[in-house]
Amino acid sequence: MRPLTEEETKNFFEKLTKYIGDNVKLLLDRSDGLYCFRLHRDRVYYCKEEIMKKAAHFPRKELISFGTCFGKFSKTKKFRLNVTALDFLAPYAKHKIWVKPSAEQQFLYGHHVMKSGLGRITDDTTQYQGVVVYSMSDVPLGFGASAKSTAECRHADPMSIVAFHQADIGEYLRSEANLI
Amino acid sequence: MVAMENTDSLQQAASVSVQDIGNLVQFDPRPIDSSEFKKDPDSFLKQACTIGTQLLINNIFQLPVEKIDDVIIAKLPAPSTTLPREKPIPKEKPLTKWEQYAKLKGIKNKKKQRKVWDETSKTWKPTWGYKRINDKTKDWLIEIKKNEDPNQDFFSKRTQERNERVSKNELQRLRNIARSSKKKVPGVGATPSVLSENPDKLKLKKALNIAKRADASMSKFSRKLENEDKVTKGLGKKRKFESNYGDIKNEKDKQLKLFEKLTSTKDRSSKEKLNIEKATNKFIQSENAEKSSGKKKLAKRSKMGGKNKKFSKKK
Repeated sequence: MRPLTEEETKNFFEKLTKYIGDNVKLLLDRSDGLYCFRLHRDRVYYCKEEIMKKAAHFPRKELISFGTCFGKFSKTKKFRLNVTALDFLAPYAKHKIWVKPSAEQQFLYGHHVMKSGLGRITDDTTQYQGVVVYSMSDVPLGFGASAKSTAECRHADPMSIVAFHQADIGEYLRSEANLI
Repeated sequence: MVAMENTDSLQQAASVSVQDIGNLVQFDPRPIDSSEFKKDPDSFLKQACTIGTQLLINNIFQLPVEKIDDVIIAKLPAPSTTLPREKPIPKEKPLTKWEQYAKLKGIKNKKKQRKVWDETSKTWKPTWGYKRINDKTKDWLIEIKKNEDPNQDFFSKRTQERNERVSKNELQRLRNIARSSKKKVPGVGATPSVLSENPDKLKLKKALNIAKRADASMSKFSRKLENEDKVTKGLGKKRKFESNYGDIKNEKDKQLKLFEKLTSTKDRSSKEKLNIEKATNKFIQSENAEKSSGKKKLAKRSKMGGKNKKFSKKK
């Protein structure tokens, strides 16, 4: 376990800002105590200082997880977000997509969001922007990247992809073993 | 009159001309009268040529003659003019490593006789090579020295040693070729960087480090040299991370600063540029609003009401 280096922090924040923009600050600067990001076995964890200090007692091999895993660094040092980060992305998300009840299951099975399943979309979404996917009853389902801008969505074919799937809460069941 | 003039000039030319009969060449060293030449260059040259050729042929006819197979042949003397070489002078062969050393030390090899009288077989035998005199490989008996292990196979040892010498010689020959053709000479024992053109202290240290780390203990138990100073240079960089238990507030401030730096550079570019997406969205919305309002005026009930609900703005 160690703090992120400057390079890693940069990569990590760049990825986060795609989804929550300036709200990254709110993750860092919290009124309810000191929170920190820690790297452990290539994964980034977000937790309270206390928990981090307690977790640090364990040997590296024995410690599986602590706090919330945001994602992991790939071998090429790029950052990948995990579903587990959804709890922190959803409340701060800048760009959102609402999925119709009929298309919810499709998305939760790991498919992209089609135009036919699109309920609503935030107005100024640009192409390839990080978006958080919600059900019509405002339950966060996952996140992805927009395949089309809002303007393009209007005139898109019903079977065309509107948002690319990246992670969804179905993964808690599908890849239970891999989630940390 | 003309013939008289010709014979005059012929005699004059003969008195000064230089000939090289061996090469069948006749030179006329008299300076050219430029005014005469300019009057009629063709005839002037023709005349000069005829005089020269006449003189050459006169000279050839004065040579001793031989008759071979009904053909009269004049015996030409050896050519007197030295002609330049056709091909460049061959380059000197580059010296081998041994030759360089021998030159430096002033070693001169003694000529060995190719053949030596062999008393035992009463024949002449070559000093080296096939069927040589004193051929040790042909010995049926090998003397064992006192300090040597008698249980060894000395015959196979002898052939093995000889093979090794042969292969070493071959390697050295190849290295000589490589050196003379200015290719990289493969090193033995040390790392290539040390053998580079200008070895220095740091490179040597690096090589030492590499050599020391090349054992199972990763240099932990490798033998230390005498007076070896603690080597830190040339070891490569060590990763350094911040402490896990450092000041979290400080860390947070640092990250905030970094984030500010990240977003500020992004914002500047986005502010300067026109946000086309946003602009088109606004334009389309206003257009739609206009359309719907126009329709409302025509028909009391709007048909567009249901369609555009989908894209209503979420704030």
